[in-house]
Amino acid sequence: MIVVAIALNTFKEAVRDKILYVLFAFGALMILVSRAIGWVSYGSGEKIMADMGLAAIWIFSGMVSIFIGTGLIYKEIDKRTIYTILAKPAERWQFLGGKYLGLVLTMLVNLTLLSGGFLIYLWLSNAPVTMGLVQALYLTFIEMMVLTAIAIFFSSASTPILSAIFTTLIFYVGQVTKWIVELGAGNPPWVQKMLYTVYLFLPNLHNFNIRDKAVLATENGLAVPYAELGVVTVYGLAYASAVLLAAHLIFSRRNF
Amino acid sequence: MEQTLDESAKAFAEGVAYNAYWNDLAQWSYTAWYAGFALGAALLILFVVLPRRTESVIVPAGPKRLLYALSSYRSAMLHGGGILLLVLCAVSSQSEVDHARGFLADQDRRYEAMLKKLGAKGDKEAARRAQYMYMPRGNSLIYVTAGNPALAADYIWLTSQQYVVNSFRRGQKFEMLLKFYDTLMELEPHWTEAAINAGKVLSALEQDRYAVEKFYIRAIVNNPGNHRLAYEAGRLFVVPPLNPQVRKDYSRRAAGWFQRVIDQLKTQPTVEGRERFISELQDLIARLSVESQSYEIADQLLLKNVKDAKNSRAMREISARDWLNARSLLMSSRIQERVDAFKAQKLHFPLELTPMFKAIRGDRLFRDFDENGIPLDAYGFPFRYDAVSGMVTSHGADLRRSIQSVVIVRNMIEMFQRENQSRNPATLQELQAWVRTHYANPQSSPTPAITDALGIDLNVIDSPFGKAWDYDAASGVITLPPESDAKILFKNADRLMDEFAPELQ
Repeated sequence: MIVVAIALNTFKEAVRDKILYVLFAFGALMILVSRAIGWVSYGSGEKIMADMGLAAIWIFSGMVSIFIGTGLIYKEIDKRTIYTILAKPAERWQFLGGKYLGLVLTMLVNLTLLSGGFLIYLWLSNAPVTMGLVQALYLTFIEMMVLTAIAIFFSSASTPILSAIFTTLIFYVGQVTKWIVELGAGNPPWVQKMLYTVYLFLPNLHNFNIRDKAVLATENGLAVPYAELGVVTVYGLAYASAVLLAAHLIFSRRNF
Repeated sequence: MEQTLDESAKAFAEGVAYNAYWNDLAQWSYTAWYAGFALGAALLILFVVLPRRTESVIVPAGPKRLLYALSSYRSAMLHGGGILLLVLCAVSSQSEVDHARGFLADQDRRYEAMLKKLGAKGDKEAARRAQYMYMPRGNSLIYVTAGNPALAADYIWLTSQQYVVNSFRRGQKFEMLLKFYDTLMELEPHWTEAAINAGKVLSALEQDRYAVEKFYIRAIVNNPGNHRLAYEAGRLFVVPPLNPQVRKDYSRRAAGWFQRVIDQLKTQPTVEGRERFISELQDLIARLSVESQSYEIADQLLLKNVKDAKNSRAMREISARDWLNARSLLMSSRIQERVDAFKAQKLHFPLELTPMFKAIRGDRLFRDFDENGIPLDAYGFPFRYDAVSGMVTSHGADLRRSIQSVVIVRNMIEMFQRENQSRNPATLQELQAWVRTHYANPQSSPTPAITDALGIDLNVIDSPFGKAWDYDAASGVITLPPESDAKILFKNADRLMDEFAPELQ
């Protein structure tokens, strides 16, 4: 119950944050503009529209996660409100979990609104609305769960600015991790193994990117089989949990 | 000295491969990277190992004192180590991009060095060409778009359209756009709609169909199940080539691609209009098979079209007429084989075809014979034979070809009249001289239809049926033999329809 109460309060706090509305507005604007870019194209206008819409949802959700998530814990410490929460019979893990779930809830609402608007906009534009697109949006949400966990991790250990920088770096590097392994090609085996270890430890956010497949999905309208979707979901949840545990490890040892 | 485009590209590649800047950078960057990684990892390990410093802790004496002294910097170690490792991860990514010639700063330096190299050789045109022909590799664009190749592909596609509509360096448009489209396919290999449209643009820019076909093949390798790509590849070769010598190969390739389309369509679930599309393609393959001298295939497909009750009446009638042609050509090719075998054995051509006819008596291909037992072609005419050249031809097929060719010759006469105050050519030789002079001008090169009808030498004197056209200089009219009348020529097509399409009669 404590976790739920903190989560709901975090959600209320997040939806009062102006930055959420600014990012939401930009995301919606980019989705609207995508159609005009599609008009410029000779053929494949619908494809470009869908690509841009999915990318807009992805990037602006990522920004919400980074900008709100990285300040969550720090703000409580900075304003000393954390004392009142922890003074009550609330464990630190409950506080951390509540904060995380609250932000995930914010993300879910944000993503649902943007995605709903995007799919309706596609439908109104006579562009194909396939199950693949829904799959891509679902995996974007799972990706945001991982990113939010990373943002909370840094927020529990550092200042908002540094956390935002770290999380943004992870967000970018996570998209291109597979090339870290390729970097080891031609090097001694121990170097290759080390790079592979780095690759394994970094979040492979590219797993959640099925946007190109979703837009070009033809067979049954699916971007990937449901089994694959399940595996990627498990990966995302496992990684997010591991990061939250690490965040708790730091947070539990922290003095205010 | 003028450099070809290939030489410019080679010089560019050499400039990139052996650029001193990159080599110097590569030598120390790996060492620095591993040193940085070790330092970052050490800082993070220390952060975990070192005890937290609180005021209540009594600082122990001895070696542990150092550890407690360092514990003041735990936070700095966490931040320093974390930043270092993350930056190194990003650096790793950037190094890969640099390998792929992606990031602009590094690429510009190498590019400038290459330009200087080319400029030093005094070939400014080659340097300019290398400049505007530059295109980043798809791999590097994936980095720029943070792992979103679809967005990079969209960007490439939209940018390429500027080059389609603008008068960008006429002559190099094809090469430039091919680079765009190859990068596009590298980024988004399954974007078949773009591949199809790209192929259409390329085929409009380049007369060399084989170069465009290569692009389609690359797209088909990535999308083997997509029949539309194969169809477009086939359509490339349906338009007759300017060089009639490659016509046979064009037809063979087109037929091959269309057959692939049919094979793919047959494995896919039934969709509306599929059977009709397959039937139309088979008809097209049959016609192409005649052009590529695959008469047996044409014979079978056209007869199948005639028999198929699902086809429209018009299609069955046209197929019946085309079948006469294919069958006649098949028959003459069979006799020709025997004539050639005779020549190989006796070292001279036979004086007449009678011995050949005796040999083919049992061949089911030959159904009609005249009162003397001489086989007739499918049109019902005797075969023609030139004992000097050893050539066997079907009179019916030649007549049919004459009907097509005479239209072109008549057009030539009209053009001659327009240029000569409505005067008719006095002889066909005069017309021939005028035609060759007219088409010697590069501004008015003959169309594929003209070279197809008259041959590469633009012969307007001889008709396909082995003698000169019957030309009347007074009226300027060419008269065809009476048997070229459609009713006479295609009488056997009606017979065929009676036999295989009685319900339509």
